[in-house]
Amino acid sequence: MHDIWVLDVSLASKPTFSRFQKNHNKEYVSCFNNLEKIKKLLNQGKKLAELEYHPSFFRHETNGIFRIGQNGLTGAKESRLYVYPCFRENVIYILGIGTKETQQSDLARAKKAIKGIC
Amino acid sequence: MDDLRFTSIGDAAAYLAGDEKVKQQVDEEICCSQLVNTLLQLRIEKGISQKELAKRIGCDPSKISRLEAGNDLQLRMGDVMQYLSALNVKMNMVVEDTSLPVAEQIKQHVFLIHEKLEQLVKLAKQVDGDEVIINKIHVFCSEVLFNFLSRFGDKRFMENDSVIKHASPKTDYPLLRRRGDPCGRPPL
Repeated sequence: MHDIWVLDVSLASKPTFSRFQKNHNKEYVSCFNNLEKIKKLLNQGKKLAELEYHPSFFRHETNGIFRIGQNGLTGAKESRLYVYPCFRENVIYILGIGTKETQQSDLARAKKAIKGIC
Repeated sequence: MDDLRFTSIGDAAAYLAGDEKVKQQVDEEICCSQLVNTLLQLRIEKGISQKELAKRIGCDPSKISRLEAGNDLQLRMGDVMQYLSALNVKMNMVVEDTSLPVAEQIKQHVFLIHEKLEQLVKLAKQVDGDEVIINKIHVFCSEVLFNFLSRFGDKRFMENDSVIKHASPKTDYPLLRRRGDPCGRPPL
């Protein structure tokens, strides 16, 4: 029996997420749906960070930070939800969300946010 | 910090968006992705990469990627069958007619269970024929079928079929042995 993973939003910026959801709702919903797929795998005890065959919408970026993409929606803005799965606590920290264009700044913020955890 | 921790993705998404309606949207999307989830879990369980699966199917890895990132409404039956076949996984479909009267629906389920148990007997026989399992399945089937037919069965069938009832030495339930079933299948 594996421990259930929980989501922690304490490191996420609500205004950022709220703005993104209003501007790109389909992509927002899709990214969180794909996060659910990852959470289900983690709940089954899968060590995604160590596997080579994880789904391609789930990519390691840097320092244990992963990005989750949306599905192939027609006309969708390529979007990224940044998360940090902490295997010690069974917690997925939600860090940020953005588009391909804002990737560098989103990642910089995410790296700063995870200092001191796990 | 507990109020900033969620077990539900929908709740977390709605909280971050500051909009309760988002929860329903996300939950619906999750609900519409159950088959995709199953396919993904199967592939990962078997330790097969997207690239390897694509090679087995004879398609571009991007097709697998798109399939796994989407929801069930975007799936094509042919793609599902190819995906499963490449994993050496069989698919059984159960079609339920919910417009039928309850008794008929129950009958459908009972006969489905009966078919599955027959398959289980065949599998058990393959594993050096575990007689204990096979006997238990026979007893279970008999009890379920007998009780169902007593309650819902055609009275003419119950009277005309050659039914042999005798008490099982191990249970209080009568053990039903029949020569044929209403669907014309051979005895267990």
